[in-house]
Amino acid sequence: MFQEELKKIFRGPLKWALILVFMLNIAIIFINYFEFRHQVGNVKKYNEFADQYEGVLDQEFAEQCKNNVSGNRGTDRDGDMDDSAIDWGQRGRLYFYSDYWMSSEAYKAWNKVEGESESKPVSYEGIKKYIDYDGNRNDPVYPIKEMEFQMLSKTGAPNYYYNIVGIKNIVRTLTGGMISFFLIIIVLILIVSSSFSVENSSNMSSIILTAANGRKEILKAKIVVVQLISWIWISVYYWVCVVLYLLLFDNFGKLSIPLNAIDSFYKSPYNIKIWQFLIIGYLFYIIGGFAITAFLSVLAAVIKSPILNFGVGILILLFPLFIPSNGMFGTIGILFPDMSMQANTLFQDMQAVNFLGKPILLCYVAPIVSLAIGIFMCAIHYKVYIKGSIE
Amino acid sequence: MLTLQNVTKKFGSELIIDDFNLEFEKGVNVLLAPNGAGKTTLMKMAATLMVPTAGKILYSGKEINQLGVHYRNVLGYLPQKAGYYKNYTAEEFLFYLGVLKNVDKKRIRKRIDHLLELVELSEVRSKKAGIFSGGMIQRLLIAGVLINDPEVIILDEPTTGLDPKERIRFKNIISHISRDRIVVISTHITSEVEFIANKIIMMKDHKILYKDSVSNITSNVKGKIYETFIKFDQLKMFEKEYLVISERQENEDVVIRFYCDGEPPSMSVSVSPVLEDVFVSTYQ
Repeated sequence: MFQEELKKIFRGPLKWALILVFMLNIAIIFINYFEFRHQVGNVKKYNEFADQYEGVLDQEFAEQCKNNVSGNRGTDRDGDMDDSAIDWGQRGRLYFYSDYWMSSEAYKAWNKVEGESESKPVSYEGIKKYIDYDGNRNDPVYPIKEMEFQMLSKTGAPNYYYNIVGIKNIVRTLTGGMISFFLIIIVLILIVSSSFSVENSSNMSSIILTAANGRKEILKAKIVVVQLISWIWISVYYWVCVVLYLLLFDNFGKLSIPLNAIDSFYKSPYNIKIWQFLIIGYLFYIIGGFAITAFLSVLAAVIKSPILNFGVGILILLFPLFIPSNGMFGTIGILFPDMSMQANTLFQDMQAVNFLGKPILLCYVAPIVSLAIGIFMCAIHYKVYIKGSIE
Repeated sequence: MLTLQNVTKKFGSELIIDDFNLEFEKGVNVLLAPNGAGKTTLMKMAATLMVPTAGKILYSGKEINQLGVHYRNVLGYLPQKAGYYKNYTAEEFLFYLGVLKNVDKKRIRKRIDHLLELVELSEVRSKKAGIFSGGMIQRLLIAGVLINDPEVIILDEPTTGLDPKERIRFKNIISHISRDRIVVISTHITSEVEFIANKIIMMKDHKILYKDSVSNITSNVKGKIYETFIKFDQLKMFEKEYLVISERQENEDVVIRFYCDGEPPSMSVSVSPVLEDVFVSTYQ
């Protein structure tokens, strides 16, 4: 049954859709690369500069960088940076100056001691002061700040802000890119539709339901097949992207730098390296993919029309991406499987939910919720798929 | 034996099947009733696609829904609007159905050869079903029904949309496969089943009206079916007085076949009744 369901999926137009989407995604990677190269100019040149300053935080040099950047970079009519008039060698140098300067600013922010709110500290020093003061112990946010402090203490100051050519692009694209996520979702819907909706559109349901293997066996086979193809698709997609980015940006040697070396992750409380983050990101991807595939499968069993199923699936899965990432809705939104796939949102900052008076980090909660959603969807599938068809 | 014991089916408050007691035996059992009489509902219940509101359906003395897979292992069902996969070849489609019906793969291959020959599709076994005519599709689906060598075959209006040649071919196949099996066919076209049916079940007002052989059922109207010649301009008047079953133009006259429970008009000749006569007189 398993083999037959697998063959059934690939007898349809799915294989062409997979190839098309995959090619499209490869094209997007190259577009990102060329856009980056357009900004940086010469990647090798950039790396030469970066290598000189690896592990060095020079405030004076950072100031020079700032002056150099603001003095040499052009602006367009709207006042945005425009480097098109600058030659490629110069661009590489300026881009590095810009990164170095931004990195030093982030470093200062991490160690900020003045100018922030005492009741809502964000810097390491500020949080340290906050938890050292006994009067704050009854404050509702105290447990969160205490945990944040403990994690930030383990992390140490993010002092590798430079020498990160391309890595941030990998992180951004793989764990938060809207287009990339959209492409994955489209393929997942096509996979599920090829397995579940095709029976309704071809009036095969009655024949299938009256066959010996047409109920539990076929459902098991369908669930395994769609989950397997989804997993293979997500894995191939993810790791091809990683390898391609690493190759294009000459980044294989930089996988061991800490996650908080990347500017948008400097407040990350997790003491992990980039390679570890990429593996965690992958795990989040496959757990989210499992939940989404299970959800879409149930949806396909409820909505018999493949086109309607496609539209509703897209709407429901893209909706959480438009929820602001802060505040209560952001916290709830992050629990959607499609959001938990976006590991960067969960790893950029300390985000926690309060459970029985204890803060639990969302990066732990999100995959557990996704897993639970996936298992729940698989569990109710029999009822929806078979019992729903018997009058 | 497939037995219906006090089977009732309602959709909400609407009664469809009212307290059916029925036994389907080996041979061709035909459910004969006009459209909307509940034939498909009955077929679906016998195929485990619907659950009776009350009563039981038993196969060899056990309730079919409790038998579950064991019942579906011996079941072959062809729904009214059966589907197929257009991008499968005839052979691939039958193989898929064989796996679906839990048949051993080696046996499926043997069965495919035999069945494609039976339904006269051997020559197009490697062609995609998407290019088949309606008749070829229906024959392919019948082969699919038979792939697991079922003991119970349920065919819901299987000849709808077939041309006369295909209908004859179809009838022969049904006749051929009905030995040693319970075949249940629903139809409202009497000529299709008159010569192959072992048992006819006629339904009216949600109940069973007749369940008997063709000859016994037709004997109910024996001596009540006549034929006569009338002029064309007398036809309307005739139709008001008698139940006209069929009419045929012959030169200046019209040959009328009609049902009459009393004294027939002069010049009428009593004829042997056929199933259509019963059908028309029942559902007038």
